[in-house]
Amino acid sequence: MNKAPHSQSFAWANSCRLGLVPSLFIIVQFQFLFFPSAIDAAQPPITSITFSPDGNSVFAASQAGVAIYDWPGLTQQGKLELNFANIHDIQFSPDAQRLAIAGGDPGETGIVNVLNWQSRDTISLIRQHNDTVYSIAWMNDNQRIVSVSLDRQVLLYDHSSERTVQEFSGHSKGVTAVCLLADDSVLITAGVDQSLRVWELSTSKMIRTLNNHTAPVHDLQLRPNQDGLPMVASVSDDRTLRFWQPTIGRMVRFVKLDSIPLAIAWHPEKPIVAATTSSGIISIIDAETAEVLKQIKTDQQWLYALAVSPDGKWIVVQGANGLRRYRFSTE
Amino acid sequence: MLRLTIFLILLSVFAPSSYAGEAAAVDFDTDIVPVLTKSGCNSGACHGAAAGRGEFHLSLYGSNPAFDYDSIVHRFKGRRVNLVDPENSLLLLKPTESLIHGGGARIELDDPAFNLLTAWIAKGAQRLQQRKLKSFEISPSHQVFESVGDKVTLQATAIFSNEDERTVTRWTVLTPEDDTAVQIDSETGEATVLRSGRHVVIARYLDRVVPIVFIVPLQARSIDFVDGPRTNFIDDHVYDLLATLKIPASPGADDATFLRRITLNLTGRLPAPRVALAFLDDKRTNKRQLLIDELLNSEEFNDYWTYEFAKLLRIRSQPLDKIGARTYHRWLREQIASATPYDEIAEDLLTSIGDSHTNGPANFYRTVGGPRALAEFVSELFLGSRLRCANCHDHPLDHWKQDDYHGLAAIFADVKAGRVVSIQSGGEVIHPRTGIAAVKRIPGERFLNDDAQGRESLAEWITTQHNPYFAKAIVNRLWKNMMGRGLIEPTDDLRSTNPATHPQLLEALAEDFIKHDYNLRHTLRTIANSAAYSRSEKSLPENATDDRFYSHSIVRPLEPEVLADAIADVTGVAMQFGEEPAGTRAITLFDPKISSPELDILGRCLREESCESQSTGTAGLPVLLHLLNGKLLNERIQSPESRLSRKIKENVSSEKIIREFYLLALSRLPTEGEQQFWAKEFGSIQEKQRVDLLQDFVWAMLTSQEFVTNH
Repeated sequence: MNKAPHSQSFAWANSCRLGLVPSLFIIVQFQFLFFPSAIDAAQPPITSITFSPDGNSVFAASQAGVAIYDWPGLTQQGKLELNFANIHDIQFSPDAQRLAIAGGDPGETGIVNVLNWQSRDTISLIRQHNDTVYSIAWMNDNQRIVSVSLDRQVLLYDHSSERTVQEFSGHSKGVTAVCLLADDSVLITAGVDQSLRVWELSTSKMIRTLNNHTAPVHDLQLRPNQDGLPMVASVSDDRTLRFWQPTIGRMVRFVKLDSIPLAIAWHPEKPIVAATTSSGIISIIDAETAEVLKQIKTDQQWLYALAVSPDGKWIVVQGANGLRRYRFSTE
Repeated sequence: MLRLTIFLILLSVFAPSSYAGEAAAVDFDTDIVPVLTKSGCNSGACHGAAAGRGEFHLSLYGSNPAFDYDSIVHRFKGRRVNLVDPENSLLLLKPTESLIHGGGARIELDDPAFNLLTAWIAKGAQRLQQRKLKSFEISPSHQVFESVGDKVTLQATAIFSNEDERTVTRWTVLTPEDDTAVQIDSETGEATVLRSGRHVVIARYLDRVVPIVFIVPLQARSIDFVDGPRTNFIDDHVYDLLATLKIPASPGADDATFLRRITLNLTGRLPAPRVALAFLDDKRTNKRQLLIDELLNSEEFNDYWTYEFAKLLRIRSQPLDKIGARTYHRWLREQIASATPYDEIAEDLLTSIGDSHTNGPANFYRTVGGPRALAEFVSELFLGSRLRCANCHDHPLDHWKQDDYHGLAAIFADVKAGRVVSIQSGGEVIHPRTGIAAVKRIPGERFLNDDAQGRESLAEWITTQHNPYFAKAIVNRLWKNMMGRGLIEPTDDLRSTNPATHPQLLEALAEDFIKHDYNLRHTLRTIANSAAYSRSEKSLPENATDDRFYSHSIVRPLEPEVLADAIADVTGVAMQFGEEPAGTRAITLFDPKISSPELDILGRCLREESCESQSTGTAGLPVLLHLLNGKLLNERIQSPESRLSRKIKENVSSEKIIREFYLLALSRLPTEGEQQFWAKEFGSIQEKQRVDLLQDFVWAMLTSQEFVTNH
């Protein structure tokens, strides 16, 4: 899909994309020689942030790859060596042994790269999508991963074999977010078609469409460690943050924000979510009342990603130079 | 990708200076938006469509740079610009078709547009907002060519708020209204005229749209109109353009043609035979002026122009309520009869409230439903401008913004239009761009304070003599009614990019109208007295193709109600309109919903929408078929009560009948050739066939082009 069918050179470029890196490197060097002003580029936006399983590091993804910061100092310690850029999601496997990194070239390829977290060696490089992968989710077996992409596909594969195990067809536009219920029985996806789709994993069938949003949905997060009916939160261009009980197809409540919410993260223990927005404000919202408890003004706008520290005390977002943390409190 | 990579390597080695120059400081609003417009990215057919395309949405023609910037730089986590590897940005890969692109290749790899976009991304894809466009000019904006094939190079100049003056021809979109008439090199701005006539090219740069007029004479031989008949300033302007175009004017119309034309134009009816005979026999040199004055002062004038304005105001009954429309219609006729200045009529309409059953103009707010529809109605009626385009986006061909549309609608948000039209505070119109209540606004002028009397302020602005639209809009409509074509067409689409055929004439007519206290009769009289109005409809070989420069009179179909009345007058069989009294004329009906199969057949306008843009009317094929074959004519001609039947019963000779019907239907006597023709026809039949032939004769009269048109 979205490939120029008439050009052999494009086919070469796609199949040999990694081979382009040296030539692009040459260009960069030429730019240093001839166009010093042209490399005064802005910092690319951070698109995903996650804590390492041991809680000592923070990973930040962007068009430049994956940078590693220490915690809580947030000083950049290094960078993951990857064979592709435009990273949109990074997720550790439940057993903390593997790290999946997802992204790809817009309009061309969606890639999921699984690394052995100890050795940093690539275990698998999955290229099943025709557009950037925006979100991934591990299953509890540490083998299977669900990925969603702007190519409208929702794919489940065994990462060891790099083969697609299941496909979930239904979204009419690109898919931007995915999450799995704790028991892996149900998959929830959301995307540009303004809908949340609920899928039964055992049959690959879509069992529900939740369509209260009136604009593209950007993020979707399952409330962790919860008793009773599972709850997910979603954010959309319609400026709303909505709470759902997907297994019964109910939108529980919603709140409309002053600017577009872009990403959300739950507090690990409390029924509270933090949402970053296009205006750079972090809103702290009570999931049980949909009340905005607090707003934190940051020094950036268009915050596409955030992470909450394992102890639930801090929120980490993009700062003027790398990452910056803010206290996750309601006061 | 390989192609792109090689190009970039070559670019870096061989063309560093140009690239570095572009990289100096690229401003999104004033550098990148023109690139998107020039490349067609933000056109209505591509990403500028209401819903965007391919999940990429830009404002139409870059009218909202902030929205476009977010769309390009921020949407979907900034997927369209790659700040680390600028050349790999989707924003470049798609339009160069390095990746498949539904819109095809819009930018070449060696294109300045490509360099500019690359430099902008390399510099961080910032918005900057360094400057705003202060003025934009095209030179030349008006060019008269010698002949087909001539060329001119257009130059576009932009002056910005920081006093930066730039030649922006490369980034200006130059679009001929008719691309078979003008060809333009989009890079150099060189224009070549391919056909004779008057052609318009629209230049677009950022939010400015400017018309360029090209004139190519129709022939090489110059024409001197110094000795041509002229009675007022109208003739000066019309002759000026005819001389430029080298189009000869047809001679003046004969008295019979003039009589029929002016009587139809001013009273909507055919001249009575006795009036026609008297006029034809009148030897006074000023008989036409006297006739015009007489018609302007007649009751028939009041009836007909009430009908014309009732169409404009869309007067019609409301569901289960005819009283309001009747009151409204009666009020309107009083204004016409008493020669109320048009600005006063407008002010009354805009500010009246109260019981619509007793206060005629209060019905104005019952014409359309809701504040947005009122904004559209008011702008089209009083400004002759289609503000409706600015509902969803800034007007692509005019200066109207969304703020103007929704701000004007907000003025009407407090109007509650039931039987009693009242003002109830608290109404609001949600602005789709902001999602909050729009602020009341005089379109194109200023926002109103919350406590301002919106309708009064609006009425004052509309009717002030400095309003650039109000007078022009109405004189253009009067001109169309008299001359068959507006100086601007359509008459509800006045804008700089739809220039008048005779801009100075339109200005002069508007100034004259204002100077004479917005007197409708004065302008109608001025037009009627011009030599241009009284020209023959018969074209010369050299002006046969002219349909807008008034070298000959324009033939146009009679309006449905006028034709219905004319058919009734000629046949002598009146039409019945619903429960209206017998003998009621169609043009005096207050409500287009009054039952009348005849008017339905003839294509009357129901006034639910504007009647100006209606494509139906009496010129269509269904009407023609009904006239030729239907009951509309045949039953009336054959009726025992018909004028023809009565004449036959009275044993009037065929010759006299023929003469009378010629006068009735065509306002003239039969020519010698026609007399001979009918004499031969009637001489070759038996007496028992006479009735049939007479009926055929009347049918032929009523189906002739000469009868069903004003010419």
